[in-house]
Amino acid sequence: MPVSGLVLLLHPDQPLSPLLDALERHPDLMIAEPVERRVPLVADTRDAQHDKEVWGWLRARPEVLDVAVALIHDDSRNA
Amino acid sequence: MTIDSKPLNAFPALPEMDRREVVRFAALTAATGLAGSLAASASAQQTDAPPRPEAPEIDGVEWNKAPCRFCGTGCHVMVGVKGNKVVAIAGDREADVNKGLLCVKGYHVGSILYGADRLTEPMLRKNGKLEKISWEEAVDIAARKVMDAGQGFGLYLSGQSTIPEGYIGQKLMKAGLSNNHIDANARLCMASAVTGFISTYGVDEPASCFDDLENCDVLILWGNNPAEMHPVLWSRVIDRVARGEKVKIIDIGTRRTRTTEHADMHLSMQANGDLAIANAILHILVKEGKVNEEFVSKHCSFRASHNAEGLSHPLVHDEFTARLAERGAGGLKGTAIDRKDFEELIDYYTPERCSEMSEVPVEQLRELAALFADPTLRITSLWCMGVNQHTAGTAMNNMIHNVHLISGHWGRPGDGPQSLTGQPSACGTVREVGTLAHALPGGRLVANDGHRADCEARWNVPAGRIASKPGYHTVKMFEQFSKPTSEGGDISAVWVQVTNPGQSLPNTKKLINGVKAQSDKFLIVSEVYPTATTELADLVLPAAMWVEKDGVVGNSERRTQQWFRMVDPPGQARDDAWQLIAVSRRLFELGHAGLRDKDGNWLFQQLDENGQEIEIWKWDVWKANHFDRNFFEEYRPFTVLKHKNVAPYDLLVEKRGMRWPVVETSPGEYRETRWRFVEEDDPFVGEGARFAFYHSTSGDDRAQIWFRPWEPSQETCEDEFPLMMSTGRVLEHWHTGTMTRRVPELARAMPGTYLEMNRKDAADRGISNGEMVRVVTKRGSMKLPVWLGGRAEPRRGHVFVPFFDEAQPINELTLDAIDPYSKQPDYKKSAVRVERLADPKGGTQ
Ligand code: SF4
Repeated sequence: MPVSGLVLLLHPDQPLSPLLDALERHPDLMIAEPVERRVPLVADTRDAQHDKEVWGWLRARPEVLDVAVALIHDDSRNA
Repeated sequence: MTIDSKPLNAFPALPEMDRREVVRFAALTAATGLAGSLAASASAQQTDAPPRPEAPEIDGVEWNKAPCRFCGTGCHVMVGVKGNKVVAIAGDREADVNKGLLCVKGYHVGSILYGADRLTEPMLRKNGKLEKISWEEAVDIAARKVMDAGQGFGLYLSGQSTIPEGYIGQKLMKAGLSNNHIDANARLCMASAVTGFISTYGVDEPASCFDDLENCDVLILWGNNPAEMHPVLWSRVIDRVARGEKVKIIDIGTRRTRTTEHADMHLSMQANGDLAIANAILHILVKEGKVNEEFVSKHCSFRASHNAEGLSHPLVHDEFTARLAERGAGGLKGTAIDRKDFEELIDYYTPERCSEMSEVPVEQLRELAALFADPTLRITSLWCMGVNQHTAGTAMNNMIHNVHLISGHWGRPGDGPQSLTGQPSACGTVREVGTLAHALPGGRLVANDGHRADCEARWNVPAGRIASKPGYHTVKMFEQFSKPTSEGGDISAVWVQVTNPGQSLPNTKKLINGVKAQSDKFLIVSEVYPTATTELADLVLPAAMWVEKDGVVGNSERRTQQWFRMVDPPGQARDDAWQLIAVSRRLFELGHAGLRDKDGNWLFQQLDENGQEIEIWKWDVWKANHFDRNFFEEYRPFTVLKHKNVAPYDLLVEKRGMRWPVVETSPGEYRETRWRFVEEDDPFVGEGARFAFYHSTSGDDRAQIWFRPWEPSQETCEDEFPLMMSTGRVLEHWHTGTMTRRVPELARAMPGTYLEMNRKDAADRGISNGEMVRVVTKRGSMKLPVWLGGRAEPRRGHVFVPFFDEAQPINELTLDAIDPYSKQPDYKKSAVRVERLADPKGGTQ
């Protein structure tokens, strides 16, 4: 059950409204107020596979220049 | 650019937050804080950094700092531990290297501890099978094998070994066993950078630092793909681009990669074209009168080598090399030449001729040279294995320094050459501690009488204890190990720690695979997971990893970084440093004379405050203490000779790393150095000198500008093998994949290796995307799926295969030719052919 705090770095030449709309609609993401060209968000996913899908979805957005990781919490693995 | 300030589905108010909501809240706080601090630091001065944040608060989670386990960028992470388990990772915003950012590998670094198949017990091969044994038995067997092998023993360490681990291994071999057969896997990735720095500046390691990425106007990537290999450094550049800053990015290489997507200019060269490109720049600068006369006349000398032990240009320089040979000096020191000689030699490298050699258009060569000709620009060069893994790796390293020196693009923030490393402590451990066959700690050499005497005195061992002849470098060590004893294979036992030569050596069939069949050879492997190397091992020692042990490492910008153990290793796994100590103690007990110092004491003796010996060879004693501090502080004085003064351990505990030389400015106050050899920043440069290369090989504070001729590669394409293969890494996996393939997200994202091919080359052969093909070299063949038009594409005539996949170990096919100076293998130029299979799905044949 990973929970990730991510920061999207947005492309300077791409319109942003479609991205922000898509992020808002995404059931597994919660976004906070952008800071300049950066959008902080949380991805809350069922499992590792789901996490990977969400990550891939973010990376594939043309407006997203880079995805930075602020925090990952995942205590579901075997110690 | 503006962002609409419409309402967003920001995190809801949480009057009664459940545990998961607490975690989400912490994640959002961390992300918001990171976004804010990145924005603030983008507009702040270095000295005016934004306020430092606290670690995220999650119930019961305790946070501590550590550098990331993976690449040489050396990002710092905050590690969240709960119940003796790593449960969370956050980018560390106190760290200058990454400013809170992490890449996808760093994001998953906590998971590498928890693969299902961790090695947890010592194992000995009996009747072909590995069977569990006790630690007492394992230590005794290892010690007896080391003792019996004598000078036939080799210790093979790593750029992932910590500084204390490397120091203990180095002292054991050179001061204890009088044996110089110690080398490290960094020989495979950055040895040519070492010889490049030493031959240019007289001392190893970059003069510049990562701060250049924020200060350059032009970024030149020489065979380098930081978007995948050093992603956080790349983020620092991309962040500037996103802010609208003008950074001209120039990508030079044989493939279009994710990095190329952001490049302003891509110089698509044929393999081995790099020396021609750099020679063209030199030629143009000389011919057009664009040499920076002031910098060159004050701070540079010219040099060439007749290359007695290496390659020599067969075409035009015979007469000149004969003249140099008459003068005597060859090898890495070469011979001084004058400016006129240099200009005469460089005259040959017209842009047109270099264009033929490199297949880069003349216009692009001129455009690149024009950038160096412009003194107002600040130019940073980055390079890594694309340059170093080259039979002319030393020469190409010299050439990158050359183009900066001759144009005076050197020594200002953003203006200079910065080499990168792939491992977290290739610099700190291998280069600084000197875990190499020819080296002693702190830049000393075994072949230097004074250096040996100095080390013998510091280690309190008798004069003459350290052998003067360099031991076997990596390729030679494994060649002698895999060769039958009856045929002169004089290495009979090797101990491997923190690396996987069974997959990472070139031409593995020749260099290591044959060992298993030889009953008089013995391979000891300290490892965390089963690997291609443990498959060959006779004795497997389960190791602790990353935050299961204490550590100190050094990244690519001379930054020394420290962390403490945070969780227990699984089962019987134990620290690599302890393993070396325990075997050393057993050797002492068995009566090995070398393990005694001049006073008869054990070489690694540690005393408590009452002068009583601490039994550090006992695991419970070791585990209950932090002996890294003792060994690091014992090592630290060695670093002064070459002005590589590392910071005191206790200071490193407080900091997110410090870049050496670290000097004490007033009692208890220390400052780091960002730009070496530069008066404004380097305390060892005399007042008024502006620049001083104070370890200059010419003894006059000057750097050397080398004449380095273009050389043909060892293997060239021919009818039977018409394509040139390079091997390398991918974003998701780190080197041989032993850790990252245990992380399900990364393994699923990139499950297996592949052959990357140009679409036109594939079309010519009727090969379609995903089809299984056979790739054939002179050393064997392998079936691989083809990936066309994926995240990267080689130029025509070239193919690329990642080496992370244990199931398809491409290094069975790679060339084992080495650079004559650095002894680093060339993984980038193996001639191959690609065959279609009768059954394109790969079922037959
Ligand atoms: S860039 Fe390197 S050091 Fe930084 S998080 Fe990624 S793998 Fe780790």
